Formats: sequence, C-alpha cells, structure tokens
Amino acid sequence: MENQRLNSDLRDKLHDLESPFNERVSFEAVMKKRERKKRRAILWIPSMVVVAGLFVVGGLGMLWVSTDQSPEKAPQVTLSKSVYKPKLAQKGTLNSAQRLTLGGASASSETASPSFMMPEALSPETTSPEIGSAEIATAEAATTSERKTNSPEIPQSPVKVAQEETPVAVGGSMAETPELNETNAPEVLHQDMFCDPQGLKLVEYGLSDPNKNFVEIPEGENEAQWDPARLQSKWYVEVAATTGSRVVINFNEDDRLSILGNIYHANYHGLILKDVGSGVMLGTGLSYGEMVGTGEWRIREFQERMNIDTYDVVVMLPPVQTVRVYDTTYSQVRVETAGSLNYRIDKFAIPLAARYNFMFGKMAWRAAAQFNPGMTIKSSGDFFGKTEYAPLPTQRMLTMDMKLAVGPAISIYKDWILILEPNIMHHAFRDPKLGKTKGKTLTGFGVSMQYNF
Amino acid sequence: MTEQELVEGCIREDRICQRELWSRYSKKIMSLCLRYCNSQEEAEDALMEAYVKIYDNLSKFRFQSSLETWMRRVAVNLCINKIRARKHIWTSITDDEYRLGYNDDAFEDLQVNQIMKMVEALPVGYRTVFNMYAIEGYSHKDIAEMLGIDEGTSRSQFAKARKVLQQQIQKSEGGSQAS
Repeated sequence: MENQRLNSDLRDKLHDLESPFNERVSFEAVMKKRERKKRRAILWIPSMVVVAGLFVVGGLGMLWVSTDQSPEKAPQVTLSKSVYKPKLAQKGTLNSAQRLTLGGASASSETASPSFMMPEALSPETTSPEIGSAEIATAEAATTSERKTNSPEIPQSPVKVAQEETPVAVGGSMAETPELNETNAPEVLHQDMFCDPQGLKLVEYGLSDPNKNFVEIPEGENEAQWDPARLQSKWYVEVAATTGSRVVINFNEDDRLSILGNIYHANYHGLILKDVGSGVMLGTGLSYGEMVGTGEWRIREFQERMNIDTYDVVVMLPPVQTVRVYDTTYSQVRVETAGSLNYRIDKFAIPLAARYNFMFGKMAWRAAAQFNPGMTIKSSGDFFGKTEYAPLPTQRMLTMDMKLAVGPAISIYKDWILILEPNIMHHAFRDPKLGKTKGKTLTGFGVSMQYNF
Repeated sequence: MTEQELVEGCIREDRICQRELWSRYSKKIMSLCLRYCNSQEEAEDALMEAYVKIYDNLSKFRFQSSLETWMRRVAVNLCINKIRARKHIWTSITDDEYRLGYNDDAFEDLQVNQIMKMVEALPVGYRTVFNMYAIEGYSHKDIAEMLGIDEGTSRSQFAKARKVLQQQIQKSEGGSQAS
C-alpha cells in the first residue's frame, strides 16, 4: 500500500510549492483576527463565570431538593422496637471498620429473629453475601460486649448461646478464636456505634424465646427529636420597606417658640440573615432611608405697648380754657409670628439586624431589632423639635437608626414569608457643628419579605 | 534567525518574529490549504485561521519535529475540521474495486503544478484522502480517525481519487499527443 503514495521527490516538491494569495490576506489581517479572537475570549470569561454560578446555584438547589427527599430526612420513628440501632449522629463518621461492624449489627439484628437459635442461622451462607465470617465475628463480639456492658444482668449473650449449640457453624470466626470476643469487644465498644445506653430497657419476648433478651429503644428518648427545619437552609434574604411618622404639636402658651409639624420617614433595606438557631436570625445588608419634616414655627412674644389716651379738660376758672390731657399707659401685648419649616435627610446605612421568630397562639410572629449605622447622603432645611429648630449641616453626618418591630409572619409561598410589622424607629445623627446628637423617634408600619434560599 | 529563535520570539509576541514566521511559511501553508479547500477564498480563510492557531499554540511546540512540519499539521487539522463540518458524504467501495491496479508512474512525468491543478479538481472526499495519504503521508488508519470515517472508506476514496487522476492524466497525455 505504501508504494501507492507519491514518491518522495514529488511529495517534497508539492510540500515546497508556494501559492500566492490575495492582498486581503496579510500578516496584519492575521493579527487583527487574533485580537478579535482574544477579545471574544475575554467576553466569554465573565459569561462562563455567570453560567458556572448558575450551575452552582442550580446544583445547590438540586442538592437541597434531594436532601429533602433523602431517607435521612425521614422521621426516625418507625424502626423496629427490637433492633440495635446506630446513633444517627455517628452515621457520618463511621470508618471502614465501623461499617464492617455496622454490617454485623444488621446481621445481629437478623439474629434477633426466632431463627437465631438454628445452627445455620449463624453460618455464613445464611447471612447476606456481603457479610463474611470475620464480620459476623466482629459484629457479634460487639453485640456481646455491648450487651455485657449495657445489661450486666443478662446471663448469656445470644452469640454464646449459639456458640454452645453450634460451635462448628460459627467456624473460624468464633469457635477457633474465642478470645476474639474478649479482645475485640472493648475496641468495638469504644467505637460507641450502638445506641446510647442510657435508658435502655430489657424486654422479654415471652415463652416462645425465653432465652433471648432484647434491648428496646424507647422511641423519642434516645434519639434526637426529628426537626424538619434542621436540614433547611439557614440563610434568608430580606427586603423590607418601613415607614413611620410623628406629629409635632406644641400648644404650650409658655413656650416662646412652638412648632407644629409632621415628620415622615421611609426606610428600605435588603438583608442577608442567617438562622443561628432557637429562632434567632442575625444578619446585615444595605439600607437607605429618608426622613422628611414639614411644619411651621410660631413665635409668641409679649411686647410692651404704650397707650396714650387723651382727653380734653375744661378749666372753668377764668379764663376758661380747655386743657388736653395725655394719659399714657403701658400694656403687654402678645405678638405672634409664624413661618414654615421643612427638612430632608437622606441616608445610607449598613444595618446590623437581629430577628427572633416565635409562636404566639397559632400564629408565627417575628420580633426585629436593628441598628443602622451609616451616614447622610444629603441633608437640608431646618431640623426642628417642639420648641426649637436649627439649620441642618450640609456636610455628611454620621447617623444611627434603631428599629424595633414585631408582627405576624405569614408564609405566602414555599420559602417566602411576609412579615407585617408595626415598628418604632429612632433616627439619630450627630451634628458636627454643635457637637450634639439629635434624633427623633417615629412609629409606623413596615412590610418585610423574607426568602429562604 | 533559527527556528528556535523564531518560536521563542513569537511566544514573546515579538512582532518581528511573528512577521518572519508569516513571510517564511505562509505561501507553503497556502499551497497546502489550496489542496484541501474548495476555493481560493476558502483556502485564504483557512490560512489566516491556521496562522492564528499557530501563533496561539506555539508555546506547545516541543521541537520534536521541524517547525514547518508542525505548522503543516496544524493547518491540515484545521482544514480537516472544516471538511468534517461540511458533513461530506463519504462513499465506500468494495475490496475488489480497491484491488484494481493503477499506473503510478504517470504522476512522475507530470509537473507539480499540473498535479496541484488535478488534485484541486478532485471531489472533496477524494481530494482530502489523496492529500492526506499520498502527499502528507498519513496512514489510512490515521485518516479514518481524523476524518471520522471507516478505514475502508478512506481506502476507497483514495482508490477513486487515483482512478480519477489516472483518467485525467491519460486525457492530458492524449491531448498533448494529438497536438
């Protein structure tokens, strides 16, 4: 076949053949093409990052979904009353030896059946294929020691009963190495693979199997209570809008300056919250708030007013003449002046939030406490109280808002919770000119939407 | 400038070295592309794409072959990818047909340019396999792997290409004798 190729001279000639190309094909054109390709690659990188992020999020979502459906999440309440059950918490930390023993444990649970007394019940053929004789030995050693430890009053372990009756069936595992039980048992015991010994009670199975003793695990006593929430995500995102207002009224006649006005605030925040347990959530995020005040000032001043009454008096003495008398009196007159007021403070903050979820009656409630340390974005106008007002500094000021709220939490959809919360919020800022901290406490209503992600 | 200096310069993105690489090999690679592509424009596009690939991947060149051989291989692979993308339908022939003998000596009497023109005139399937087997020196097994076809298909395409070429040579010889 190889001789069907062209001879090497001809091939070399073909290889060395040079063909011209169009002017559009040049080194510069290649370089431009290369640059374009690189730019495309640069655009691809963020796209790939976004796609990878979506995959990660999707994967996590799938993981949560699959975790929801995994058997580990199923309530552990339907197990047989007569089995040795490993502790759920140790499940994840079993090493290979422990897994062997766990397999043995399942074998030993099989031995709890009435067929246990039969010789072939302990033979390797009657056990599951995965469980070898050594595993049976290990498992049974564990079983024996466990029973010895936990129930000293048990006269004889089931394994020993079987051993006496069927020494051959146990074979090299038990009969040939009787010390195995004694030597391995403490080690196996230290693995602490079986259930918590506290509270275990012996039960008898009646006359049909008088020699067998079983350990019963009372449901709910020796295992962690099933809590569906514990496998849910601990992370929440919250967006909320909080409003509030306050009316400033001062009709005190004694005050020279009285102010009548309204103060409103609107606060918006987005938070990431983590459930730290016991219904408590902690989190932080970003917050933007506005506080607006409108009103009027009134100054009541008492001015001393001079009143001059004049009257003419006729002097009857000759020559009769009229004399004008000027009667001057002074009186205090209240003079009232008024003007309008308004101010606006826009601020940005990084909230530190704490939430506490609790049940009250049949309703879920949530209490919220939040500190919003931040600074002003914009401030203008005259900040007023009941009896005073002063222009706001225009430079940035440090602010600190504190919010307390409590309200019902309503689950509106899977993972979405709506919280309606009346709140009280104190807005404070530090006036750098005066070196004073000023603030106002407003009450209002807020709506929060929480998403468990 | 030695090959090594040239390669190192191109890896450093030295424009002088890159231009030298272009001027040294571009016409040869163009000749190669012309043998694989259907038209001059397609070959020119393939040439530019091949050079982009060569510049991008020169750091992977290990000096285990000559630079030209490596560049040719890059260009051949690129052309093959283009051909595969076209989903050309490969036709197969029987073994008997394959065993038909052809006179190879006729090729040696032809000029290189004549061979080139004849090769360019071949249908794409014949041309690709003929180029790869007869000129580039790939085995049918390699060709089959690279093109994603059966080895028998590769052989049959080559046989048909040779047959067509043989007919063309005979025609040209007949024409020259008549004149």
